[in-house]
Amino acid sequence: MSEKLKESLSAIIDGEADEFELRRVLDEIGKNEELRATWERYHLIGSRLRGERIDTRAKLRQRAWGELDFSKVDDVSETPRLDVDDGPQKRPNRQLGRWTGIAVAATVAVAVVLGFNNFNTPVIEPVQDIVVLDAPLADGSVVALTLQAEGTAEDIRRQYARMIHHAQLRGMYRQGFTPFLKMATYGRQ
Amino acid sequence: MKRLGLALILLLGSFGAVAADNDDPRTWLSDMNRAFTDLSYDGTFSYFSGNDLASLRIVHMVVDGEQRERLVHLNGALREIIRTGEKVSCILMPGDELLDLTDSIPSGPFARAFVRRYDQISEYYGLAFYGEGRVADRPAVRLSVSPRDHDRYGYRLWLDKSTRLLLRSELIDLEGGRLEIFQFTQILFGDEVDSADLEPTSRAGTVQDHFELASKEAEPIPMSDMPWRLTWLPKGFTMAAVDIRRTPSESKSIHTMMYSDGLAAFSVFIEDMPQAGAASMVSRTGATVAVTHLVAGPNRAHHLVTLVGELPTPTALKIAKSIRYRGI
Repeated sequence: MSEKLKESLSAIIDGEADEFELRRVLDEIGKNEELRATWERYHLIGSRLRGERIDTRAKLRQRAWGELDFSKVDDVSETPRLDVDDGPQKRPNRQLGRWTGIAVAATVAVAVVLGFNNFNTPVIEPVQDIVVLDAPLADGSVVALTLQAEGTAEDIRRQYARMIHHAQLRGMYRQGFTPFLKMATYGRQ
Repeated sequence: MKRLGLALILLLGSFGAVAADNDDPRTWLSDMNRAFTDLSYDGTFSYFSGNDLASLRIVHMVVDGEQRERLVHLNGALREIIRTGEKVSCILMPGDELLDLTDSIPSGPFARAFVRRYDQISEYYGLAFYGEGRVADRPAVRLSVSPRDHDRYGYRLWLDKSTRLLLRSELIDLEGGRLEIFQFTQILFGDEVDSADLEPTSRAGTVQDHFELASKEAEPIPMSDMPWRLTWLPKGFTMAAVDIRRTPSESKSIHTMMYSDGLAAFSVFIEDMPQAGAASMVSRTGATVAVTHLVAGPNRAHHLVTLVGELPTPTALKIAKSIRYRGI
């Protein structure tokens, strides 16, 4: 990754990028595998820590525009404790505020160590798994799914490939009203 | 205009036989299904799913008794799906994300297929007419398909009044929100459809990826060969496909099972743990949810289960967590 790109990514994460710079980096993300992996990892970490469903790669790109506003800092006091190694980041506090909107089960103590050797190699070491409780089922039972905080771009890719495989199966078995539609539109969403 | 009039007369005539069942929504659903496969049509439609709106064109004809279809994405890099009988080709530009990902999808027809008719779904969905509408400048009859429990989504359908082809559909979540919308913006029928439009766009550098539709004649795989089972299923879901095969890009086997209630479908993929480990995760795009989860398999070794389907998330999680290896 070039120094210029690192600076731009840094500026975006710090909320200091102007629109031109944002557009340039987002365009570059579309072409540069390494930058995309870094970018997606940042978002993946953010999503995990906020207890959100993990989005697909394409959707991450979609959401990128809407999520670049780093001025909305969540209330840190009510979130599980995070130990953040500042590393070489310019504004670690903003980063902390950005990533601490965590919605995890209250009974689960979560401690995640986020370290950054440099901007393109974030290190995530889950001390304990994050558990997201889903909505109660119709029969009153609750399903809990354990999320490990070490999902990689490869994990997302694998899951995405299975989604396309399912779309293909729907087509092959003529399931649903428009079996091949999902296949034709995947990755464009 | 004369030709259009003749086409309409022919179309109306062909549906005269079912006029007696006009009051039964199940008949309308069956007719809709038949319209998709039997009619000639050429139309453009919008498809909203997740966060995005796509525009596509579909051309469909039956030529010499063989179904032919061409589905073209109208935005971005060229992407077409061409169906000729049971053979399907994806025509893509180099670098298409779909091409990157399909190398890990097992190819070839699956061994077992059970196709359920739409008129048998009323045990799990309430079907009702709810007025009329207009889509793509054509009069339409509106039909609601409401789930009878919380384990599947519902639909609102607009069926063409004369041909009964689906002109618009909305996939509705449990709270009444719209997850997906499919809608024709313009459509031609019958003689107005030109068979030349079934031919793929010729463009240099395209890459083709082929697969075949499931064959009813294929040798069934005995269920005893499938060592994985679901210990919980939502009502009405039955196995639609089962297969065990190796992916082209990875030398490992993937056990695949697909279940359907006639409208909704989900697939379960079970594979060995990748060497680099894998995370459990849930993602959603529009109505499609994907759950990756670890399950103990032979010798209690972890296996990776991925469930993908058009299901509410709690239902998908419950199914994914119910997967067991034989004897465990």
